[in-house]
Amino acid sequence: MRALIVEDEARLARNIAKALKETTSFAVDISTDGEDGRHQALSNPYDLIILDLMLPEIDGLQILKHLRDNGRRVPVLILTARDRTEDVIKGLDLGSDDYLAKPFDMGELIARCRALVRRTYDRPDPVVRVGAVSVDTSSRIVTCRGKPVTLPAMEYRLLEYLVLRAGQMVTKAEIIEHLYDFNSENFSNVVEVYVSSLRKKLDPGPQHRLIHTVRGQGYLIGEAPQ
Amino acid sequence: MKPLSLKMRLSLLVSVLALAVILTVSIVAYVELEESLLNNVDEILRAMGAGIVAALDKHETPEKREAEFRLIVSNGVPGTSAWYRVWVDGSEQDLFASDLPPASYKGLFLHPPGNEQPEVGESGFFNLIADDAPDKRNPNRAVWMRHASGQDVLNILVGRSSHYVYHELSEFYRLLLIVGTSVTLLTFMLVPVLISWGLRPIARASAQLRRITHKSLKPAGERSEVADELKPFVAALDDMLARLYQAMRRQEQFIADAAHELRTPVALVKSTLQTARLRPRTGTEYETTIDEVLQDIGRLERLTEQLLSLARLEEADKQHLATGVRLDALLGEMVEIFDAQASQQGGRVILSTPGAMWVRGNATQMRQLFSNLLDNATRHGPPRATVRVTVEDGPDRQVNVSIHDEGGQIPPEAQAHLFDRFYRVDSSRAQASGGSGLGLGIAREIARRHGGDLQITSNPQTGTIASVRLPKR
Repeated sequence: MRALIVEDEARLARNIAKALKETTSFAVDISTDGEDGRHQALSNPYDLIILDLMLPEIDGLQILKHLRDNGRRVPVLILTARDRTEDVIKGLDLGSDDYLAKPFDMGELIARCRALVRRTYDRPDPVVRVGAVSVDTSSRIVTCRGKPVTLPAMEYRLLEYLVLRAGQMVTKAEIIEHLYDFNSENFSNVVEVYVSSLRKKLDPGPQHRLIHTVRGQGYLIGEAPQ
Repeated sequence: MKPLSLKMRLSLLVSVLALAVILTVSIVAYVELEESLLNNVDEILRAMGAGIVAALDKHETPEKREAEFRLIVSNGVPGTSAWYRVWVDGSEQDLFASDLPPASYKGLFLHPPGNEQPEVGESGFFNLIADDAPDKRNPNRAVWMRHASGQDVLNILVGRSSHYVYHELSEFYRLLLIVGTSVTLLTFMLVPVLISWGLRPIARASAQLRRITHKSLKPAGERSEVADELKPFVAALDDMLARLYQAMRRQEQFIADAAHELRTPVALVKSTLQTARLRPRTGTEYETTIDEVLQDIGRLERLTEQLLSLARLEEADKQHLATGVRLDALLGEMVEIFDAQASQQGGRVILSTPGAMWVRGNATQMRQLFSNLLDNATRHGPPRATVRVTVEDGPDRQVNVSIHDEGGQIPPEAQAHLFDRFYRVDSSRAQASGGSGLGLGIAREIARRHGGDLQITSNPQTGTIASVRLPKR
């Protein structure tokens, strides 16, 4: 999952990013002004945007409107000091998916972020089961045939993305776009390394693969649609 | 005493006016009528007299003459004939005479008063007043003519009742009384109704005013149904409403902005602490967290200070400005403190002043004004720069203080917003260094309250100069 924080208060943005990275599997980008925020929001396939309203250069609501005008379906959570009901209504009516007023509770913000992502991938249950593997997206606990499996952060991030899109073919380009933020050094062959590591930990044997390779296109987890 | 209502006043005024007009018209009409009626009586008498004179000149038998005289003086209505006497001057014996008037008027008819005697060929009129009880209001009327006929002078006296004149006049008087009274009463009753109708625009306007609350202060647009006379009044009211609305909007905006400004550091502190608590941290990480929180608290503290001083400025009255402040000494102290701070970063703050300089004002506010400006100069100027504070005599018994930070520049697009509340030239940098966005606004407010002003000029060549103008004591 990849999130963008558009917030002019740089340290607040860094705090949220840190909390998201530590408690969820989000890759996080930060933008501290409206112009840059709009550009980033339009040019990357984010799974979530946390948007402040009072920004230098461009107002947050304008960014939101711009996103929706351009047909972007990315969930947007407005995080602002404006807490009047009129502002909340205006924000939601312009196409935001959630609204949280500052000062906010970090735990609540993170829970809302997770909920928004579940909604995007149409997974109301935070525990996603694919074959013998079950992934709890809230606690980040993975079990395979009833036994807990400990995964490094990047492997968990990859697995979570694949299970949320279970039954769909996922291209390598999509994986890279959704798993890495701008600060990561992404090498495309690293994806293969993670996939093979996941297979070792989760697959019962070479005949019964959980993660299928679609040659020359990407990967698929679970049963492909008939 | 309770003042009379507008309606009552206008009703009274109109009724009194109506009464005066009716009275005047009535009096004029009465006098005119009386005069014309009396003239009418005299005209008839004169015509009768002339007829008798003409008949006398004809050669007729006395009987025929008598008959002709009777014809002349008869009115056609029995019992209303005039009376006449014809006699020769000096003779006691009447040549001709009709029946005499009623007993009490007989005396004057038989013995007309000498002073009423006209010249020969002329005629004179007089009233036949009753002998016993002279009824001046209800007399009979008579004409006395003297006519030369041959050697003799003939006296012709024709008398006639003029009672009907007074009867008609009293009828007319009654009519006037009835009409006048009813018109006056009607006026008095109708005018309030008319005035109510006339004052309806005011009633409407006041109903509109009553509906205005602090929430619906927004001035209405064009008011089409306002009477012309009320337009200036309504315009003035609308103007006042617009000013109040503006003030309320500014106040609301200020509260919203202040809330935003206060919430942001609170959100920062909260998020920093909650993030730190997500998992166990190292000692260094905790120290960083504490430092960050302290920095935020510092910012919150400055913001609270500035907001409070703004509130105090709003309520401070001008009495406080009456005392004198020795500006050079005050600036000396402050420059010393700021210089000590700046020197830690390798900068300097230098004061140059021509000597004792007194201004009229409040020392606390003066300190705040210059503290805000010096704070800006040392914080936003380039590092290791020198800030020069210059005090000098200005024109019109004023003192100019300029605070010049070399190299500090404000982008041109930001210069127009410098005094806007919560405006920061570079938000991320200002937040790191703790600017509240209120300092310059407060500084200018203080300068203006002291009868002076504050101006900021900035360009790449000279750097930024804050010039304060203050009236001398």
